[in-house]
Amino acid sequence: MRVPDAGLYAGETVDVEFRVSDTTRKDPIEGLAGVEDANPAATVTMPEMPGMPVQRPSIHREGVPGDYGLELFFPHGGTYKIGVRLAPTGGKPAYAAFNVEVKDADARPEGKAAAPPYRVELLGSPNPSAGKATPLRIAIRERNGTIVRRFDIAHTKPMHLMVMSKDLSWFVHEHPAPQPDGTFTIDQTFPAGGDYRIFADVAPKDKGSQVLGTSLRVGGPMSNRVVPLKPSRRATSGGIVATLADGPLPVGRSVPLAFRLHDTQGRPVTDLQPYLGANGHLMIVLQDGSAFVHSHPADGAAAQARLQKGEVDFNARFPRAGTYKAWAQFQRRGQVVTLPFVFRVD
Amino acid sequence: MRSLFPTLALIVSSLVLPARALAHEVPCPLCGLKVAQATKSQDNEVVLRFGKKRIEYRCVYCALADAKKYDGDLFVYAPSETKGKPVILSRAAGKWSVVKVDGEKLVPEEGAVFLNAFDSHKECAALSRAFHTQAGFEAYKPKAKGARPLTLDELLAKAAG
Repeated sequence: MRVPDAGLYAGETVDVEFRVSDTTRKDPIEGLAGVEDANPAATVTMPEMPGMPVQRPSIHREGVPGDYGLELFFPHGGTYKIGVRLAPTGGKPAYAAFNVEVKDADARPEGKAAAPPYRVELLGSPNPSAGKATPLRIAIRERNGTIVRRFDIAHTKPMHLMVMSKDLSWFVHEHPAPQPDGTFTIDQTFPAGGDYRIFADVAPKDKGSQVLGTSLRVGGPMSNRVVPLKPSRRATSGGIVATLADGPLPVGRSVPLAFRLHDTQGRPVTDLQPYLGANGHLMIVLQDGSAFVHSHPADGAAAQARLQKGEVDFNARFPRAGTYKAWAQFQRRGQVVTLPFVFRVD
Repeated sequence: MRSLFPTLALIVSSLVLPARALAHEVPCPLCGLKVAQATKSQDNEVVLRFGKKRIEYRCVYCALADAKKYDGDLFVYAPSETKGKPVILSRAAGKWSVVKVDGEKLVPEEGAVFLNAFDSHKECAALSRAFHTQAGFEAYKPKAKGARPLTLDELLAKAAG
């Protein structure tokens, strides 16, 4: 598969064309005759991101018979698998799959991309105060302002909401309730006054995963516990001692993040329970809040075998250098345990 | 009808466009306006084929005018009154003609006519088009009040001007 000379970049809506040819018929211009009624359908997935909702892009005909255009949006960089299924009129179905490399949005040489296809919005001008439950009503809007009403389920929920204080010292992972009008609601209590970052991880129907960010100011006394981020690859909570493996974490390519889990006696933790459809969740944010990654462990036999030794591997790709904070969440004995980490990416 | 399988080959390749292969967002290389995509009722994209290059234009006028920058033989696929059946313009040894695919050969196509009646270039996608037949032109004519069908030579003269 040939990709455009300039490559594909995250964060932009792109139209990638493909051609369906019939090898039994020659065409004096194109070489092989195009198949005009191939009735193609496509899926886009990320093999390294198990559980990521499938994108089913729209396909349209292009100006040359047999040429088709895929309307794609890549939420972040990485290796994507594009599967194309054909149901040619009068012919038998066929299928082909192609891997394409998508560069991070920051790598784009031509400046910023157009506005992303979706945004998250807090409706009704919430005016939260520290320590009080504040009803939040959240909408996902298309570029034209329409509220998205249909979502795919990702890890058992239509929306994963991550809320964190600006200094990243406080974090929650919640699941607002979907409403008939397409919005989501949740009562959220903030521990202190100040600014908060909010990330909604959603998958509009057939459009794949989208992590959308906004912010919110909370009134009330400010927290006294502003803690500068110091690199830390070891965390303890809920009877689990977790250690993130040493090693450099480079920018712009997928890297494994290997965690070893022990109990406080030094014994491997081997009794993790699935939580929200995965053996763990890892949420990672750049210190300034400008990049967010939501990752899940690999599945399959090898991953299960490692899990039995108290080892959990996530994959992540960091779009830019800096200090990142991560929260790993695991469920054990019915309790969800959240473990914070801080590390540098260079 | 014979089966296309197993000899049906899927060749997926991103096509070479002048900037990035982003048909929705790539402006027409001649007029700079967005290239209109095909709709359910009609095709809109004009494609110039020069060697291995495929370049998308907003209208036939733009493709013909821009073709001057390419030396050598080339083809222009012009959207017609029938979806999936563009009118094919061929420039061979500097001479333009309308051709059609007949088996593995190209043969002359008779009867094609053209519309090129835009006042403002914003209208070019709708008002610079091709038709396999006069009847196709007549059916489209309500969208182009007062327009008359052009021969290829007349269209080329406008594009050259």
